[in-house]
Amino acid sequence: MTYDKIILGAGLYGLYAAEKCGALGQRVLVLERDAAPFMRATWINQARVHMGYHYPRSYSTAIKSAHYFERFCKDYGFCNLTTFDQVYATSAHFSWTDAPAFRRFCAAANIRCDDLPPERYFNPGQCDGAFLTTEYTYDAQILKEYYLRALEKLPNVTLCFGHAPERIRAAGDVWQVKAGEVSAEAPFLLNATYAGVNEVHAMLGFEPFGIKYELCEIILCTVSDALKNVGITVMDGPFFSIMPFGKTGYHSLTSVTFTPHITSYDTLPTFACQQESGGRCRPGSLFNCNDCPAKPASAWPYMSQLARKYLRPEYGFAYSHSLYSMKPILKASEIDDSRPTVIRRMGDEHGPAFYSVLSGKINTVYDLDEVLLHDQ
Amino acid sequence: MTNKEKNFISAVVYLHDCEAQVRPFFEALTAQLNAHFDQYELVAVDDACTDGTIEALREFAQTLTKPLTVLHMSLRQGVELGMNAGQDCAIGDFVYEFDSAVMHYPPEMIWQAYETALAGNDIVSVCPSRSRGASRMFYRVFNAFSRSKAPLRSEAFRLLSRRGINRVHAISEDLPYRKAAYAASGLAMASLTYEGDAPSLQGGRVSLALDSLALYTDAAFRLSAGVALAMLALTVAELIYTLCVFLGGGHPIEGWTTTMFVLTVGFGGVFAILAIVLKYLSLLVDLVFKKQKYLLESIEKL
Repeated sequence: MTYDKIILGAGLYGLYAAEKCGALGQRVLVLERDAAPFMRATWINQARVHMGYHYPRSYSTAIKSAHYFERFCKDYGFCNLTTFDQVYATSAHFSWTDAPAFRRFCAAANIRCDDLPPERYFNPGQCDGAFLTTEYTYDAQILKEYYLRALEKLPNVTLCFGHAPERIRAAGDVWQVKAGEVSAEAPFLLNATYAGVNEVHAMLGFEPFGIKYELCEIILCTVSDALKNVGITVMDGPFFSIMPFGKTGYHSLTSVTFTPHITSYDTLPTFACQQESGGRCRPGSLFNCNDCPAKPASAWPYMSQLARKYLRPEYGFAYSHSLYSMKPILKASEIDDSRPTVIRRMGDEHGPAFYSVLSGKINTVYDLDEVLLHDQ
Repeated sequence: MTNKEKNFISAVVYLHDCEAQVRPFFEALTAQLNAHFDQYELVAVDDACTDGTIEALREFAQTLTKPLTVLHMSLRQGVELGMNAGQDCAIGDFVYEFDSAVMHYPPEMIWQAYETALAGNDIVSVCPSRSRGASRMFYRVFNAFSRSKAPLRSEAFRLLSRRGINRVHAISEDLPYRKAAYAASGLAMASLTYEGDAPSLQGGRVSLALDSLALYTDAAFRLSAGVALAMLALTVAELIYTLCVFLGGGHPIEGWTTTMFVLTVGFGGVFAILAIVLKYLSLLVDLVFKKQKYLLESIEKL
């Protein structure tokens, strides 16, 4: 089959691109190795719609984030949970940011930051500032339903689940892709596979992105009434966050130290647990960590302990279950903690178009427009 | 399912150039913790070690299944600031503070301290039966001038409850001298004694001793105010004597009485003002409580 675009990966970035191009009448094929869309990072993360508060060390990321926040809320407001107090606090110790610096940063980025008494939420001496902010959480399942419905109406878009590309090669001015019984070709290929980005590069001999990989655990909790309509994020350093997880009724609990279980600095993520995955997972072909029998034991004892050290006892929470996913982090963003979206054209400039996208945030999906609309 | 304690334990250990001791110490410590606790973490404070201490620790950490955090201090800042950093980093329900990596006491005391804490003590200190002469003298002076109900003594290590830590931090943000801050917190304290010596702590103890006397006791104020008042009394006596000579009509030397009046009244005023200034200074210390911050280079998780 011949298409206008082939998209690898049915996460938000993949489906956004499919819908955008499908609406323009283009023939689009989406190949996804899992059995359904949004099975990995789009679903398994803090589900935060970033306003920019997370990046006090990178003004440019913060301002960009704030800008995209408005747009995301306008386009996808239906999947956002907005009715809760999002509290940011600066830890009194070990933080790279203190309360005055955070206030200055918010003023510079022009984002909301209302002072709250830290004692209302935190144990004495733990936080030197607490701020009420505007930030939301999105529900990946609602977003998924939306996209499935929207793409159903576009007969020119084909979604192909359970198909990972086995072979990709350039033939003249098209890419030929083989995935199981599916053989397809298109002059444009979008690699939106997130943690799989370098697997595709390796297949084609492209230079890999400089990435480290972290196997991350998101803990879902049931919470006490006091915490029900509150999200809390302590920053900026080895701290934690407990905030509503979309509209699921759960809170997600994550911590900078304990959420990443193991790290791989290899180009293709290599982990000891792959040996125990029963052949499901290997460097060059990442299985879905959340469905893997070799996923690590929960870090709940540590994460809960860290959160309890900070939070006053009335803000109680209890373990429900854990979600695991692989998170690639661009090595260049370690120092300033920025997670910019990287979109790069790979391969021969005169050959068929090949773009790889890697982004750590949901609401910077609009960055894709540049390549999708420009390169028709 | 184990019958081990479910409370989360943190053990904070201060390290400064103790390459030889670090491994045996951590082995004995983790053996005790493994035997009694389900969940714990270790926090090592690397106070600018220059020998192989940290390498020895890294080697030890390879066999460790629990998290170990190493705080690398930017420059040597001494046991108090180092342990403050360690304590701020610890997340446990109960936090052990080991000021030295030398175990002069039987390791079982680590568990006994926990049992004592569960009996209702927020702060449990484990003390040697003997202490060095200089320390003994310091504690004698300190306890004489301190208003806290619990007398201080040499300690090998201590155990704090999270409740106790919260209370101490609610009173003052920084703890220039932890032991005295704990004693002044008004929480239930207990101490255990073992047969043996106190661990020797290197460096900076004299200035720490003077600082603590100034901050946690009114020894300095009482001493200086006492001196000022004594001088004031002397000048007043001198004034009275001069008055007597003057009223008695004596003329020892031409101009003596006038000079003496000026001198005694002047000095009397100076000493009176000094006494008031000292009172104000001591009030200021109480109110502001000298802010001390540590410099941290990096945090390493092993």
